[in-house]
Amino acid sequence: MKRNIRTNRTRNIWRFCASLALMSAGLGGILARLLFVQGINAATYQADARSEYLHEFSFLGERGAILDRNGNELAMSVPMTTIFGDPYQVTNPGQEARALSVALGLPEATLRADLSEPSGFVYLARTVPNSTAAKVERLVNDGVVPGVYTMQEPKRFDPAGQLAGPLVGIVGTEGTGLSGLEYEYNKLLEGRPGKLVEDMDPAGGQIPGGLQEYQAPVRGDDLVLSIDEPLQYDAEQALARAIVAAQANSGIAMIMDRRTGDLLAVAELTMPNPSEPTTMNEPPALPVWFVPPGGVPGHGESVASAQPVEAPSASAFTTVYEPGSVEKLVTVSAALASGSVQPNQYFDVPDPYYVAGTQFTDAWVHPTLYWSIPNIIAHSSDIGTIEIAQRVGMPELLKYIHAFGIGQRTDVDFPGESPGIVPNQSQLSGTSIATVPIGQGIAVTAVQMLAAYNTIANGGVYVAPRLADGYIDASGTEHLFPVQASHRVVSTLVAKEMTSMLEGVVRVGTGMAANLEPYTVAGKTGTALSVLPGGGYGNEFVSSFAGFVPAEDPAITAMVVVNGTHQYGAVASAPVFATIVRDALQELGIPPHKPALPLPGLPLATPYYEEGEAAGPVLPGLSGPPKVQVGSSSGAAATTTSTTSSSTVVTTTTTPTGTTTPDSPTTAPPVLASTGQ
Amino acid sequence: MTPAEPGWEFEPAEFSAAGLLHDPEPSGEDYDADPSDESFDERRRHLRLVREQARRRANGRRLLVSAGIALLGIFCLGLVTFHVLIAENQFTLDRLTQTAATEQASYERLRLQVAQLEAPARIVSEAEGRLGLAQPGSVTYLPATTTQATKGGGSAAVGSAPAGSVMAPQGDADWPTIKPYLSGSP
Repeated sequence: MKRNIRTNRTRNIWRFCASLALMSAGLGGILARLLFVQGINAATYQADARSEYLHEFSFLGERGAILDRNGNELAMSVPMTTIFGDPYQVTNPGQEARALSVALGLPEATLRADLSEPSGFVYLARTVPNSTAAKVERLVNDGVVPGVYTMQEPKRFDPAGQLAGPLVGIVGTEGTGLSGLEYEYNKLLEGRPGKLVEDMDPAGGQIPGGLQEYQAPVRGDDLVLSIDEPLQYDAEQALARAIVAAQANSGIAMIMDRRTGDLLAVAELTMPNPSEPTTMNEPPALPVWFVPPGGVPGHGESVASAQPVEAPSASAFTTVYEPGSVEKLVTVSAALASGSVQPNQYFDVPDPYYVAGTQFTDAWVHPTLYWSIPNIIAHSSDIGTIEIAQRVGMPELLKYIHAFGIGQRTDVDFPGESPGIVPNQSQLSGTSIATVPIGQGIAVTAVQMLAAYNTIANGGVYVAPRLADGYIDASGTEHLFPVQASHRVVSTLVAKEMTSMLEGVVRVGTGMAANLEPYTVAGKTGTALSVLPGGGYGNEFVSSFAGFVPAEDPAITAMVVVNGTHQYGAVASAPVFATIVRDALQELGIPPHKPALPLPGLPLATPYYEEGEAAGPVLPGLSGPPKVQVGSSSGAAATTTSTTSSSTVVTTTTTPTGTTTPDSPTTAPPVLASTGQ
Repeated sequence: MTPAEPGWEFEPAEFSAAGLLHDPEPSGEDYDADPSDESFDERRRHLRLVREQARRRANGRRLLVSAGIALLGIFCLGLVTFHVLIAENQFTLDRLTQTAATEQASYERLRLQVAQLEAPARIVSEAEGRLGLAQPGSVTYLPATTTQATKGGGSAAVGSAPAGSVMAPQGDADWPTIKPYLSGSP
């Protein structure tokens, strides 16, 4: 009996201990878990819990506008209504989709699918028109569509339509700049997004007394461009007509303020091209009308079948091309500035001409001519220019090419801007001294060449082109962007001499189509073969004209490039130059100036068929007959010509070395303006 | 209640407030009490004379407490009122913010309309389409008179001349010689 009692007691003790151990283990486990949840891993669980009841909504800040120099909006954002839904709160997706389908004009099936998604947020329609928004808001207020809400979202508009589209660029649906200046100045324009943080119950209702923090979005700053909207429109209009008339693929027209370097217009148009899908769906830049043969302007014009549209990108900054003869400005300026040639120097200009065993010819066949530098420029003689360049030498020429801003990015701050391609010393070949001076074997952007001409217009001082002037902050204060320092490239005298030569181009040379009397125009034509994508040259031209006006006191510099045409710069680009420059002069209120007197010692260019400056009377203030005569390096005879009639010339020539060449009649090319320089 | 009753505690302040401590005469119960009793001495020890000044101070303190309680009440009420006002003003502010946002959106929409109406393409379209205006084929420049030339910066030619011609600078004797080379084209 006693033993039984002891056994029972022992068993009870064991039971007690076992139970205690079990309970301790259980409690210990709970405590450990508690420690893990509340202590070690508390932050994670806290964050998980917070994410369940704390909801954060982001609001896009209104994007700043892009303005032209006069404050006209080229792109701006306007708050529009966006319809969104919370499918967890939607009670009857089919019925709500039906009601919304009528209001939104969207397929019922799409809306039903959206409203049935296992998500707390779906967009149903973004930035809808006000009339549509009003219909939906009525449904929301009447309780017909529980779980459907509206909010304000900014939408980007281009009030002037496609105008300056390649410059301005595009903005994505999330309000981020994707191309052009919208991309480049995205940080400035986009502002700061706002947000609403609040505690919400599982049904989506706000928890009374819970957290609610609202941070208002901040509007972005307005970007002010140097572009002048009316000038941009005029330039695009003229360029569109030129592209159609020249049966070209694309074109660029630019106008620049000579003094500040502000780009007043940058027109970029292209014909619709299947390889650029965006160009196929765009509306035309403007309808181009043509007067039928024998028709009267204003009556019975017919619209051209194919219409240019805005280019997909601003190739004036991003695409390089071989400039052709417009490059001769740089070559001759370098020659004059370096003292390699004298302004009144004469050259024998044979045809053909050989450099490093390679034959070079002018664009038209001619006997050996005896030409001054102004005549070489006016008639765009490649051979004459090569002879000048040979006196300069490649290292010096490259130095001036860089000084004119070629081979480096400008101050336009455009995304993807190309610095151009200028060969360095190691990349030069024996023929480089012949190709680079006439704009081959070198690649520039159109804006670089424009800046080079502006340097001469500006008295030899390079001013970097600018596209963005500054920005206007929320308080309405305008802040100007810093201006790149200008630098002198050539002396004022050389600039004046070059101006006089460029005047000759328009007065008697290849650029006569750019004549704009009573204004005096200084400019230069250029024609280069288009480069094929796989290398080599095609049979189409890149035709250009660059210049400035009024030549006596330049106010604006302009350039026109017509790409993919069979016409030379003199025909395809020079008339467009005259049109856009005329409009710009009127717009800016610049009257015609008194023509400048000829520079002492500088011969004036003469018409081609008059054959040489020595034939004419010595003009007052000029240096008289040339003192320096330079023989051709190829051994061709120098020829002094005299005018005897307007078409056929009989010349008596004496070379500096004393050899006499027989007189030979020369005939002018049938169409001087289309000689393609 | 008598001081002898259990739980009774002698508070001088209460006695002082009640004015009992001014009465030097002991109560009848005190006479009946046994002076040899220890508790009697204990009680007697707590009895003392209270001066008028202390009584006033006690009264003032009581007044102060009452005023404090009243002020606290008023403060609480004020707090509630203030809270209500804040809530009301918050609603007003929300309404105003909403109105401002709506008006701002309306302004932006109107600004867009103005910009669209002022777009060059639309103006040209209206001029040519609705008003029947036509772009000139070419521009003819009229010569400026002397007065106009001076007003315009003196850069224009002097006197009158046929449209499109270049005028000689005044006093330039060589002009007839130079002119053909400047303005002539083949």
